[in-house]
Amino acid sequence: MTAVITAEASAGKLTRARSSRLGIPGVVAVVVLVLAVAAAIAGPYLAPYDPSAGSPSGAWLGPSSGHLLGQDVQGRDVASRLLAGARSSMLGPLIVVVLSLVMGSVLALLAAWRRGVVDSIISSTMDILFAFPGILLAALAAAVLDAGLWPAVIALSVAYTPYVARLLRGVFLRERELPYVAAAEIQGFSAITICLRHLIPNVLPVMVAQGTLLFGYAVLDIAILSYLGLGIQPPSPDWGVMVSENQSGVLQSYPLPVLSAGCCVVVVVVAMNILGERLLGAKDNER
Amino acid sequence: MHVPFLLKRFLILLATLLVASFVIFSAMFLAPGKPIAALTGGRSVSPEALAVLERRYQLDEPFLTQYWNWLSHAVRGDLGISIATRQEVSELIAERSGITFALVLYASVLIVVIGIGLGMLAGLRPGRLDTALIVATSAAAAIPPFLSAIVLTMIFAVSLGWLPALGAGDGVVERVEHLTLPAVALALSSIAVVARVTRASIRKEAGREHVQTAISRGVPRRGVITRHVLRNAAIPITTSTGITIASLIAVSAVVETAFSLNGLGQYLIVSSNSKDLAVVQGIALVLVLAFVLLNLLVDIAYAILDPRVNLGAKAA
Amino acid sequence: MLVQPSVRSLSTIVLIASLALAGCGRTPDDADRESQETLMETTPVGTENVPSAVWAVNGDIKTLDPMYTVDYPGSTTLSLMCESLLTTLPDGSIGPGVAELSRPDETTVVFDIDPDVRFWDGAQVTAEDVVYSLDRQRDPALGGFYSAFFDRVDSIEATGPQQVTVKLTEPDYWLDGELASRAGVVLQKKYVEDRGESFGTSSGGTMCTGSYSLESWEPATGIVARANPDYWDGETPKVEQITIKSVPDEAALTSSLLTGEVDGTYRPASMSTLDQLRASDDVEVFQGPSYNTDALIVSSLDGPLGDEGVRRALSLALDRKGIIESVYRGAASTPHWIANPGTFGYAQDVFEEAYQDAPAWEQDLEEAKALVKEAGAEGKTITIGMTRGLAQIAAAAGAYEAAAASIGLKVKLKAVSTENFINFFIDPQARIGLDAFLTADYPDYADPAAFIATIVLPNGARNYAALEDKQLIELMGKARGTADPDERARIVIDALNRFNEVLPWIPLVQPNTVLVMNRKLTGAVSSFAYMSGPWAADLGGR
Repeated sequence: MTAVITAEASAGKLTRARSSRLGIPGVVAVVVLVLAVAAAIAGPYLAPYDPSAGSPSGAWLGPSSGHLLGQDVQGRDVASRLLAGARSSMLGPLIVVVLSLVMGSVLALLAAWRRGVVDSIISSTMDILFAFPGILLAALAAAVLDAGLWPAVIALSVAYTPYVARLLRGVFLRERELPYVAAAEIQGFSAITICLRHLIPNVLPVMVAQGTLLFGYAVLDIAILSYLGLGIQPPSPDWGVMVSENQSGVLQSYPLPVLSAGCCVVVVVVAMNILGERLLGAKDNER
Repeated sequence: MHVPFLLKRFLILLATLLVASFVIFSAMFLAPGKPIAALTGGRSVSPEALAVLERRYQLDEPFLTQYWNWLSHAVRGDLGISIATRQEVSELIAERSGITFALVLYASVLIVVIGIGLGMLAGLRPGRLDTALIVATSAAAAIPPFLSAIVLTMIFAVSLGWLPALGAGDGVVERVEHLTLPAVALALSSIAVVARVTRASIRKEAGREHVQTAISRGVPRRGVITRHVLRNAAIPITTSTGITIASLIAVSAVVETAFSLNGLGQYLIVSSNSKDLAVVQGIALVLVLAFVLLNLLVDIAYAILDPRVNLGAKAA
Repeated sequence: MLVQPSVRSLSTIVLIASLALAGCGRTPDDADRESQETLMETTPVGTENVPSAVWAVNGDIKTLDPMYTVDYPGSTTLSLMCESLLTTLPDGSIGPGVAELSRPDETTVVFDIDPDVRFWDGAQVTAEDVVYSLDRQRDPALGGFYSAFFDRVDSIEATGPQQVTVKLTEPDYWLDGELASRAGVVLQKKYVEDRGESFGTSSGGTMCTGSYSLESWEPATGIVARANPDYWDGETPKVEQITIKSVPDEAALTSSLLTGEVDGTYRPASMSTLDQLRASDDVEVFQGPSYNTDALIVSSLDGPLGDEGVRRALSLALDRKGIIESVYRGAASTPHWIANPGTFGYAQDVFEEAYQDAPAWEQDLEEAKALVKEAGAEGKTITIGMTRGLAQIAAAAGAYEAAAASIGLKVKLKAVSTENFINFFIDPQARIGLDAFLTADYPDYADPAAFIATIVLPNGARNYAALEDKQLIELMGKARGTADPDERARIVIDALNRFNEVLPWIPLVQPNTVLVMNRKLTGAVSSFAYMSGPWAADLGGR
C-alpha cells in the first residue's frame, strides 16, 4: 500500500514549484496543518460534547444548532468525535514517520558509509522487506498484539523503512563523495562525528521533505487499517473508525458522519502533499 | 549480463518467501487463541472433541516441528489444508486469486487508459484542461479507497441503481458489471498519481533544449513529439505506472471488504485473524510472487525503453 | 502561468463538505418510529414457480458434515438440504422425519424408516445408513461436536432392513430433540466412506435426502442447491435453484436486499438498518419465535460475581428496554427466564402459563443497590470479555457497564477481535483474568432444558464457572428421564425458576428470529426451526 510514495515523491520533484517560498497553497497547507495539530493536542478539551457519550434516540440526527455536524450511528456528536479523533489520526502517523525515518536513515547511512559488503547486506535486506506486503505485516501485527494503534504503527513503520532507506542511501552516497568529507576524514574526525556534524545536517532538508510526504501517506494508511479493523478499535474516536462505524448510514441517506471523517483525512493528506512538494522544490532550488 | 540479473532477482524472491514464511509462522504461533476456534463459530463445544481435532491438524506439535512439516510439504508444492474448511489451500486461493486478479487487471486498464491519457492531454495542451486536471488529481490522489468505495456505492448503486454494489457475479458480462465500481474505487487515486507523473514528464521533456530547438527550426511538431518527447517521457511513466499497479494488489483488500468481494486481500485478513496458518502462508506466497514479478516486468520495460540502461545496473 | 492547484483542491473539498452538510440527516421527529411485527412461525405458502433465488448467510460455510456443523451459516445450509431422523416443525415441536420413533420400553428406542425415503441419487435409505450416521456422530475418536449427547446410548443396531433400535443405559427423552437436529442427519454410508477425508468439504460434497440437493460449492462464491425433482415426501419445491451466499457485513447485506441482489436472509445478529428495510416496498421483514438469548456468562466465581446477590443486582440494574429499542429495533423481548419462550417445543400450554406467571426482568435500581450493599461489593471491579467487532456484543457490554456503574460497581472491558472472541468459549487460557464474558447463544433444539443442562451440569459444555447447584443438577436429571411431556415441563419450569435465583448466566434480552425476504417470495419458515428443519420447502413466488 505504500509503493505510491516513491512515484509520488518523484512526481513531486518533477512538478516542483519554481519559487523557494511556500506560495499561497503552501500557506494554506500550513494553516491546515496547524489546525490539525491544534485539534490533536487540544481536541478532546475543545469538543463540545463527550465524544463517547451517545444516546440511541439521537442516532443519525442531522445537523442542528447544538450539533453542527449532526449525530452518528450511536447518537454521538460528530463534531466532537472529529476533534477528539484528530489525536490518534495525527499522532499515529507522526510516530510512523519518526520511526521509519530513524530506522531508514540509520540503515542508509551505514550502507553509504561502509559500502561494500555492509551495503550489499543492507540493500538485499531492504529488497526483501520491499517485497513484503504491507497489508500482511499489518494483519500479522494485529494478530499477535491484538489490533490497536500500536500494531498498526509498528507494521507501517517497518513497511516504510525500505523506501526511506533506498531514497536516503542515494542521497548519502552523493554527499559521501563530496570533497569535504574526505577532508574531514584526513583531519582525523571519527565517522560518527562527520555523520552527525555534517552529513545528517546537510541531508536534513531532504529528510524533512520526505517526512512530510510520508506523513500524508501514513494518515491515509492508518485510516485504511482502522477501516479494515486492523488499526484503532471502536469506540475510540478516530477518523478511519468513524468511517467504518457509520458506513451503514450511507445506505440510509445519512452520509454526513462518513463524509466528514473522510474529508478530514483527505484535507490533511492534500495539505501534507502540498507542503512536501514545496519543501522538495525549495530544497532543490538551493542547489 | 541478463542472467546474473535474473538470478539475483530469483534469489531475492526465494529469500523473501523464506523469511516471510518464518515470520508468518512465528506470528501465528505467538498470537493468542487457538486456530481450532474457527471451527466452532463461537458456540460451546466439549474440550474432548477439540482435543481430537487439534491432534488431527497436528497443532499439538512443537513450533519447529510444525514449521518443518509445513516447509517440507510446501517446497514439494503441497500448501496444506485450511483448518476452517478442510480444503486444499491451493484450491481456496486459486478461486479467490481470480477475483483479485480480475479486479487489479480492470483497475490497471483504467489507470493506463485514463491516467496516462489524461496526463498526456494535459501535458501536451496547457490551458484550462490542464488546470482542471491538476485540481482534480491533487484531491483524488488523497482520497482513501474506502471513501471512494462508499461514495461510488452511494451514487451509482443506491441512488441511481445503475450498477450492483455487492459480490463478483457469474459469467463475463456480469463479472465486468460487478467489478466496475470496485475497480474505479481501487483505481481512482492511482489514476490521479499516474496522470500527474505523465503530465510532469511530458512537460519536462517538451521543455528540453533539443526539443525546443527542433521545433523552432521548423521540424514538424507531431514528429518531434512522438520521436523525442513521448519516447523519453515513457520511461518515468512506465516505472511509476508499474509500481502503482504493483501496490494495488495489497490495497485491493480495502475495496474487497467494502464491496464484499471474496478476494485474496479480504481472505488474508480473515484467515490471519482466525490463525488459519496454511492459508495465510499461501496468500503471502501469491502476494510476494505477484509483487516481485510485476517489478521485474517494470525493470524489463525500463531496459527496453531506455537503451542506455542495462538490467544489471538498474537492479543494483 | 504557474497553476496553483492546491488552493482550488481545498476549496473543492470545502464545497463537497458543505453539500454534504446541506443534504442529509434525520430530523428528531422520526426518531421513535417503530414498527413491531407480530411473531409468526412461518410465512404464507408460495404458489408460483421461481427459477432462482439468492439467500444470504452471515459467514462462510465451513463444512456440510453434520457432526462439525454448529454455527448459523452451516446449520442454515445443512437444514436446507439434509434431513434428520426426526423433523423439527416450525413451532419447535418434533415430528417424524426420515423415520418414525417408538418406545417399546423406557430404555429402548425404535426407529422405523419410511420405505419411501430416497437419497438424491435415488438409492433407498437403509438401516445400515442410519446406524452408520449415528455411530459417526457418537464416536468420540472422530471429535464430533454432538458426541456428548449420546452418553446414555448403549448400542445402536439394525434390527431389520428398515428398522434401527437404540438401547439406552437409562431413560433419555432428550435424545429425540438431538435427533431432530444436526446430530440426527441421515447420510449415505457408501458416499461418506468413498469420499473419506474430503466428505463434507467443497470438493467432497455430501449425499442426503432433502428436497434440495447440492449442485455446486465454490468456497469463494457459495453453495448452489437445486430442487430435487424426485423428492420422497411431497412436492418438488417451487424455487428451482437456491444460492447460499456469505454476506457478513450489515451494510452490504442491506444494500443487496434493497437492490434485489439478495432475495432473503435470516439475520441472527442485530441489524441497525431494520427500520430502513421495513420502509422499503421491495422487501418485507418478518419476526418469529427464536431459541436465542443474549447473556453474560459468569465464568469465574472468585470475583464479585461469585456472590449470588451481586449477580442478581447486576441483572436488576440492566436497561433492557434501551437495548431492545436501539440495538434490535424492537425485534427482541425482555426475558422472564434464561430460555427464550421460542424454545417451548412441547407442553406449550404448561410452559406458557408458567412463563406469564414468572416476572420479567424489569429494571429495579433500588433493590439492586441494596443487594450490592448487602454483599459489601461496592466499588469492586468486574472484568468482562467482549468484542467490538459484533455490534450487539459491543452494545451489550455497554449495557452491563452502565448497569454496574448505576449500582456502585465498576466494569473493566477486555476487548478482543471477533475471531479471538470465539476463544473465550473454548480456551480456558483465554478466560484467565475474566469474571464474565458475553454471549448470544441458543440450544440445539426447542427445549429450555437443552439450554440449562449444558450450563448447570458438572460436565456441561457451557458450565464455565464450574458451578454446582445440587437442586438444578437434580432437576435436570429428573427431567431427562421423565416420559410425560407435561410432567417434564413442570420439572423444567422449576429449574427455570431456580435458575433465576442462582443466575450462573445473567440474561440480557431475547432476540426474535428475523427473516427479511423480497416481496416476490413467500413461504419460508420464520421461526428458529430453520436452523434444524427444512425451511424452503414451501418457498415460492406470489
